[in-house]
Amino acid sequence: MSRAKILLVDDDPDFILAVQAILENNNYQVIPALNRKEAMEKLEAEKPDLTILDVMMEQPNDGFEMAREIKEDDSYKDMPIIMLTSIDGMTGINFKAAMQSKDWLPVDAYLEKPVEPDTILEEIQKFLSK
Amino acid sequence: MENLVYQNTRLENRAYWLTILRWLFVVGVGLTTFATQRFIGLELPYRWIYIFTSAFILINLITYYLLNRTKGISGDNSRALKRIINFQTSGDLLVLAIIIHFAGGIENPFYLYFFFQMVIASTLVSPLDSYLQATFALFLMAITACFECIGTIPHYPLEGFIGHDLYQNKFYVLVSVIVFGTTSYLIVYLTISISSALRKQEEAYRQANIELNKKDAIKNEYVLRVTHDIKSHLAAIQTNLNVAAQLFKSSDKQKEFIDRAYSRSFRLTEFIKDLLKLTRIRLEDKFSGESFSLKDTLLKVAGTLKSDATDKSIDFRTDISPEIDLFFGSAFSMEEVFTNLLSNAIKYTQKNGSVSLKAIRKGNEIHIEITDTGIGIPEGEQEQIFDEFYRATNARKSEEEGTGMGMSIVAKIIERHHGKISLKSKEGEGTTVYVSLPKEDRSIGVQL
Repeated sequence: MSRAKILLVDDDPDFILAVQAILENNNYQVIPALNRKEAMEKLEAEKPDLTILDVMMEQPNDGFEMAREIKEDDSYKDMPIIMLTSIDGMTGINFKAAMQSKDWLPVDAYLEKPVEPDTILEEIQKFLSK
Repeated sequence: MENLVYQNTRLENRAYWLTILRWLFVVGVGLTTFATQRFIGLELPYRWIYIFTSAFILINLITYYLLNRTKGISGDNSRALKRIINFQTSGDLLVLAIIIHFAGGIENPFYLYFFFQMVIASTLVSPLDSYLQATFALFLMAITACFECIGTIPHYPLEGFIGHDLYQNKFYVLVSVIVFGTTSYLIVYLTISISSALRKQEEAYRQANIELNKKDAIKNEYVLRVTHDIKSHLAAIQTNLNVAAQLFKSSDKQKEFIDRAYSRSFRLTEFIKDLLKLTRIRLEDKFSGESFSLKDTLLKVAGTLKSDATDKSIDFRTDISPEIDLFFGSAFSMEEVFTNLLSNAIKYTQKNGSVSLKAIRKGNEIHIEITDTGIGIPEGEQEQIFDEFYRATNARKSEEEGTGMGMSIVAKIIERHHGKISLKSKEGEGTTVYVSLPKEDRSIGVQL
């Protein structure tokens, strides 16, 4: 079985490095991207099986916008997106409620940073074993 | 810009308000004239009085037409609106002067009605215009009184009502005109100074409010930024430590220090999360309410925490009545409340103890009881337990970690939902927390 490819998008290289280590240790192939532009290019080139996305990158809502952009594209609409972020209710957004409306926040799971390695691995397995 | 819109709306409303007053005035003058004619029987040229009373109707119609026309103008139409108000005031003064001329002239005490016009105008139009209006009123009053006095125009006496030769007394006419004039100017002066002071004050309040809103937006942006940055760093630290501890072989000593660092970063994260939650609840003056199944929320929370209880061999029982199903409020916050309360109960209960969650409906209220056989809260500290950062002395001594904010978050959320929370506890024996919530209080989401 070939290793599943995960696109990991975050503007924090230290965070990327650590999560990458965890994922690679669990036999996933990780494609890191530090910003939205790089992420979209790598998405195109690598066709990952799943994307892990940070909400706030260069612009406060880069992650949201990118999630929307990806899900609007027919070739990626079935690729699961796990949104990972350190902002929470302070933005006035209740993520759990927002996820009910797929148009508004078209992601498949939402995890709050910092996240335990086991939690993120569990989430990934849930989507990739389907 | 906002200020301008506000000013213009105010002027426009006032212009309409004047027309309403005028309708009432027309009715009032009409009835008074009719009563005078019918019951007092004074000999007056009633036809003219009725004709000129209906001139007020004409003023209203012209006003409506002019106001409609200004609606088409985009941008600042305050000058047009002020012109309309000036037109109304002058028109009223002229018509009133004519009616009074036909109804006794200077003998008619209704002359005093001129002062209403001056007060109203002074609060709405420019000071210069207000003084001009007062001058116009004085001119109308003086010219009719003088001409009647010297016989240029006829005098229509209020026979039997007041001494009917007064209008011929030059001294009386002169004094009346002087008193009328000084009163007019004084009224205009006083009204202008009072209303401009009020307007300045109002403007200052409005500005202060705008400033506050701006600062509030900056503060929210700031908190969001700080939250994100602190939590990002922490997340990176924590995840890296995690990798170091789990993925790489390290000596026991190294591992111990990494674990300590990890545990502290974990606690710091929890602390910051709680602090932010509390700040958020305090800052928000409302939250969006929704109808949701409180029963499902309770079952979900109980399901999530069951394994924690099993780990400690705690006998965990739930008794949730199906009657409590629908509830109006924030589902997210309610989950927070019961997760906090139940995990506290489990956390502070020793092995083989018991924890129970009971929820029933009593009329329009939902009663929830969470009982444990834990360490309890010392008697003197039961009130403080809801204070921010407060942890009971025996909780601090226990091995368990806590930020000291859980209970104050719970209390704030319950308060937001117009509910009540109380507890009964005995140190060493256990605690029961009572929560009561109004079943379907739709005002919750509107204003708190």
